[in-house]
Amino acid sequence: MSATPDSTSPAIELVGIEKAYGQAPAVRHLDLTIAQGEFFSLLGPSGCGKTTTLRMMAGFEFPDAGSIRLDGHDVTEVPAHRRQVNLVFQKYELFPHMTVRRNVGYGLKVRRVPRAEIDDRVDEMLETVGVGAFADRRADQLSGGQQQRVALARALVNRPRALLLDEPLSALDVKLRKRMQLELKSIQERLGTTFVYVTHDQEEALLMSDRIGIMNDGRLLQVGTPREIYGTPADPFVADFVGELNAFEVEVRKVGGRVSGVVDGSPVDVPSSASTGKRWRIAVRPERMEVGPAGRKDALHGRVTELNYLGHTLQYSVETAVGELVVRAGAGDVEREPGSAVSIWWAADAVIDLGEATP
Amino acid sequence: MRRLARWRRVPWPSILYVGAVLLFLFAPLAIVVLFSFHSSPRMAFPFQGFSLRWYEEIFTDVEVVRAMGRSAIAAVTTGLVTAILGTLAGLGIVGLSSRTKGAVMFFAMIPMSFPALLFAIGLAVYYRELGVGFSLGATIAGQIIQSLPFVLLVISATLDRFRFSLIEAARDLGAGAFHAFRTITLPIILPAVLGSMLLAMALSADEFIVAFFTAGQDKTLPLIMYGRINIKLDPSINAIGTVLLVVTSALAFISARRTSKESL
Repeated sequence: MSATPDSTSPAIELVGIEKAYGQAPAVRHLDLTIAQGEFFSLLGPSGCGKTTTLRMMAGFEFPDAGSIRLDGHDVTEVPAHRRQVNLVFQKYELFPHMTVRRNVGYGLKVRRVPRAEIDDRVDEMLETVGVGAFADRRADQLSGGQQQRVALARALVNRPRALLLDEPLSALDVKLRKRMQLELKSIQERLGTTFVYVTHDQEEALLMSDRIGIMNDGRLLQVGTPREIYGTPADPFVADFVGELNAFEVEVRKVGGRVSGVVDGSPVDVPSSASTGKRWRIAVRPERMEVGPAGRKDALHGRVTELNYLGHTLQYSVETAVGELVVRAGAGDVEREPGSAVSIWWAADAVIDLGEATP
Repeated sequence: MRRLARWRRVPWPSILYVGAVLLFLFAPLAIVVLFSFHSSPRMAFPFQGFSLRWYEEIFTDVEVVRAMGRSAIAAVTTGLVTAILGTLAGLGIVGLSSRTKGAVMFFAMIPMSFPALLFAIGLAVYYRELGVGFSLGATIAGQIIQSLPFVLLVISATLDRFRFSLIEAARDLGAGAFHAFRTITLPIILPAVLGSMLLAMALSADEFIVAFFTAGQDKTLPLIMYGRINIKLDPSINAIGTVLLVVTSALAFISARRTSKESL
């Protein structure tokens, strides 16, 4: 229980984790290392295995193969109540028959921490998460946002080696969720605790995380900083799941001594991995595309079908030879009315490589 | 005031009908209670005046006081044992698949639908074959079997609504399995456990048939009353009956309040 925290080891290491329910694989050969003090998000659609992975870290599920290390110690077979990690549940799971104070003190009391110390630590943590005023209310008399904070306090007060959070904000309304995202991040930075955060909300993951792991179908597809994940997705699924994407195929040819993709007769930049004579799939984010007057050289040509005003941006739908593209421009730009002919182009570093097109 | 206004909206034939049913149900009880306070041994109108002589008589009658003691022991034992067994059984079946659970509940409910007379005779024959003497213990065992289904029904309905993810939360915070049960599950289902225990006590307190066949010399209160009715219409049985009525209806009332208060 009181293993001395070894700060030179990673907070959590998963090595070769396999987990299946009956015949259905839930997690397939997963390797992951999470650093001390990191805010790490596991992002993926529902059923991708992210919650199962989190529950294996917590000790509620046990892998069929592979090992789990916490601060360098092997905890693969250690059950939840003997692991120095705590979980914030999706539905909070506050004890309804206890006051907020007793809920938060539960873990310390179980571990036989002296009464006076429990009181001090509980009060301090309730202040930290901003529910000090509700300490003597019953847990079932709180609003969703307050319950969320109490659940956080109940886990953090134990000073876990890592805090695991299972979609903790999904039950809150949008406005409260946005505020809690920032607050969670600032609490994490203040305490320096390692956070492992499971979510299906890509914006949330991008906003809060130091690093993100994208999962689909039981596999960890890419691990990287939000910038890496968004800017250079390693995989078509990642590219499509995180942010919006204009994906299309180009013909790779040598044009004037340079390897280019040819669309609609115009050369466009392609990734260096593209080989001549093949069809290649590339993608560009809507906000990386530029829209301007028709007739520009080395650009795609199209016709505006829709213009939407989103306050801070203008969003165009443009019909082109490669299909309909979504383009975003600053709200101060010249507005191009539906029906007008336009050119679309982008910088070389905006191109996301999706690999050779499958015929 | 508001309640009164709502009453006014009920059509009078309904009030009349419900009134008649209540009268039919409660008139015999009312007569027993009334005559337990009668100053004369005559159990007939006109009523001649109030007195507590019959209460004085039963509380100084060794036979009655002893029977009260036995009935109290039987009620408390039956209540405690069925509450513990019912809770364990409920916890045992709550995690089962709905099909297995249905089958288990079906068999567990048999004692409830089985004719009490047949059950009691069977029990008596069984005790004789086993060489177990007729006694208060033999009666209590029978009453436990009879009241267990009621207790299990209440507790299993409560456990069906219990969020077992709360246990996961407790385990996550470092609680062992038993500690989590003691600090989370038990306090949350306790109102239902106590309520069903009181129900079992009430069932035991005025249970007659099983006691009649298996109690032997250890006569419980209902058996004493039956004996006295047989010999002559002894007015003291009105007092015994009233005591029994007060005890059982108090238990049933508290039981109902306990189980309905539990609304998690």
